[in-house]
Amino acid sequence: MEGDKESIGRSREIEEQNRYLRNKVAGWTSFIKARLKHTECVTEDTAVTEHHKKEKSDQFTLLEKSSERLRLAVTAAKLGIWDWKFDEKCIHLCEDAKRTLGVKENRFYIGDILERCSPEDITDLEQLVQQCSNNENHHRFEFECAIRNVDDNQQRHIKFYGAIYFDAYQTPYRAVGTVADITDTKGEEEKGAQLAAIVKTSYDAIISKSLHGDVMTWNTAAEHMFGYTAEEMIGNSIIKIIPEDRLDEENYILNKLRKGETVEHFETRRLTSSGNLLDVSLTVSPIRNKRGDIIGISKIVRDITDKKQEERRKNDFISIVSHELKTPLTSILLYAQVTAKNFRNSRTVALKTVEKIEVQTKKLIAMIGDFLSLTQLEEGKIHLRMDTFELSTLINEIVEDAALLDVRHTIKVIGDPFVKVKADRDKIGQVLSNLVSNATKYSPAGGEVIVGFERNNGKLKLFVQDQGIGISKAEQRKLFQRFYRANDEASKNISGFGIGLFLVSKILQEHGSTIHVESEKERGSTFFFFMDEFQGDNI
Amino acid sequence: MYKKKVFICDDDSGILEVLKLILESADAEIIAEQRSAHAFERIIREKPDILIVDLWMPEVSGHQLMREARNNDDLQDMYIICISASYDGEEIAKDAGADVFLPKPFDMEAILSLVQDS
Repeated sequence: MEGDKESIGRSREIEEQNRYLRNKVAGWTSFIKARLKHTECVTEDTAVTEHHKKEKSDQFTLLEKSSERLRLAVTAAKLGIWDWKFDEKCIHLCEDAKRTLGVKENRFYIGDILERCSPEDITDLEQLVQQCSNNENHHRFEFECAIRNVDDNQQRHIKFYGAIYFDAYQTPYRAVGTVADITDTKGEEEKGAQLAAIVKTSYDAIISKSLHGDVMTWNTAAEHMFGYTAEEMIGNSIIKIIPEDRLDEENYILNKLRKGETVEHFETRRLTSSGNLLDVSLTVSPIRNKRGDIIGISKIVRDITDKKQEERRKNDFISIVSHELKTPLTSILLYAQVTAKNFRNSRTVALKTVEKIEVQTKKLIAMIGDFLSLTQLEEGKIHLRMDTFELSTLINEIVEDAALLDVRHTIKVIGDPFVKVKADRDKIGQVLSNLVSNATKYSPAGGEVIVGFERNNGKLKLFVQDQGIGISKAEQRKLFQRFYRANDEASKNISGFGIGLFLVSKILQEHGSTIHVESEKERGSTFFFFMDEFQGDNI
Repeated sequence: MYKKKVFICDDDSGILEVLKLILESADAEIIAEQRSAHAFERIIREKPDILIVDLWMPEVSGHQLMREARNNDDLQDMYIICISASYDGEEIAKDAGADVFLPKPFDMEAILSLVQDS
C-alpha cells in the first residue's frame, strides 16, 4: 500500500513537471513567434517610432557583422557546417560541407555517407551514438572516418565535430556541427607514425637533444644500449653517458653542427648505467625547423663493440704474425751481415750477393714495420720516442739503403749537415723511406730523386721530389687514405699495399705536422712536410 | 787479454747461433742457452759480464730471468741487454731491470758495439 501511494505520488509529480515544461515551451514558442511576426511586420507598421527604427537598424548591422565574421572564419578554416534535425531525416549541408563530403544533392541522408564508410568506422560511430546518449562529454562528439569519393573511389579522411541537442522532454531532436577534410593532416600523421615506428624498432639508439645537450627523446634501443629508461634521461643532460676523458668531444661535435655540418661515423666510447664502456659509432646531425634554424640535434648511436673486438683480434693476429716473422728475419739479417763482413776484403760475387740478401731482408723488415705501425695506429697504441738527431745523417742512411735496391735513379741529398730536429727518429725514418720508395717506384723511367730539407719561414721544409708519372688532382685528394692505390693505367702495374702514404700522414699527424703534395701528370711529384728545427743543446 | 763473458739466452736457435758467431769473432767468451728454465742456474755459476736475453720464451720469461738476476747480490754488475721483437718490449725490459733494450731485428753493428762498449 505504501509503495502504491509512493508511485502514484511520483507519477503526479512527473505529470506536473511535464505540464510545467509544456507550458514553458508553449510560452517560448509564442514569444519567438511574436518576435518573428514583429520583425516581419515591422516595416508596414506605421506606428513604429523613430526609436524602434534605429534599434532595428542597429540589430541588423550587428547581425550582419556577426554573420559575416562567422562566414569568413568558417571559410578560412575550411570548415563545412551540417545540421541534422532528426525528424526531417535528411541532413542540411552548407556548400563547404557538400564539397568536403563529396555530395552534390541538397538533400543528404545519413545512409548515403554510411555506405561510403568502412565497416570499422560504422562500428565506432554506433559506439559514439551510445556514448552521446549517455551524456558522456556533455553530448559533444568528434568522429574521424575514411570515406570513399563518389567520382573516383579515392579515400579521404573526414573529421566531424558536433553536439546533440535535446528537447524539453530530454529527447534528442537535433545534431549540429562542422566537418573538415583532414586527408593531408592524416597523411602527415601516418608518415609521423611510420617514422616513430622505425625509431621505436631501430637496433641503433636514436636520441634527440637540445643545443644545450639536454635529452629530448630516447628510443627503446637507447634504453637497452645504455641501461637508462626514457624517463631517467629525458630532460637530463647527455653528459651522463659521456666518459670524463671524452667530454671535450661534445664541444667538437657541437662546433661542427653549428657550422651546419654533419658528423658521420665518429668512433668513440660511451658509458652505460652499469659503468661499462661501449665502443660506439656516432652520426650526428642538426634538426632544423621550417625556417631552417637549428632547434636541436639528432644522434644515431651504433654499438660497434663486436666490430671493435673483431678489429682487435685482427690487429693482435697481425702483431703476432709480425713478431713471429721478425725473429727469423733477425737471423737472416745477422747471417747476411756476418757473412758480408767475412767477405769484405775479397771483392767476390759472394760479397755482392750477400749484400743484396741484406738489403732485401731490410726491405721485408720495413714492410713488417709498416704493418705493425698500422695496427698500432688503429688501436691508438703508437707511442713516439722523442729524440734529438741530425736530419742529414738519417737521410743519408735511408738513401744508402734505397740506392742499394735501385740502380735506375740518381738519388740526390740536399741539406745542411748539422741541422737537428726533435722527433721519433725511427718513425721519421719510416716516413722518409716510404716517400723515397714511392718516388723511385712511381718514376719507372728513372731520373733524379731529390731528398732534402731547407729553412722556410722559420720552419724546416723536408721534401722528396721525383720526375715520375705524377698524380692527378682527383687522385691527390684520396692519396692518404688507408689501402688507397692510384687507379690509372700508368700505375696499375706498380706493386704495393696502399698503406705507405696513410702511415706517412698518420705519423706526421702524431708529430703535429701534415703531409702535402704538389704534382702534375707526367711531370713528377713533390711530397713535403714541415718540422721545427731543434735549437737547444745536445742531449 | 781479458775476454768478456757473454751469456745468451734465446729460445730461437737461429738467433742463438748467429749471435754466437758474431760475438766470438769479437773475442768474447760465449755461453749459449736455449732453455730459459736452465738459464738462471747457469748464470749464477758462470757469473757473466753480459747477459743477452730474449723477452718472450716458454718456461721462464726474459722478464722473470732479469728480475731474479737483479735481485741476486752476486749479479749486480752484470750488464743486461734485452732483445725482443715485441713492440711494447722496451717498457717491460726496463721495468725488469735491463740496462738496454734492442728491438729485433737489429744490425750486427748494434749488438757488437753494445757488447764492446759495456
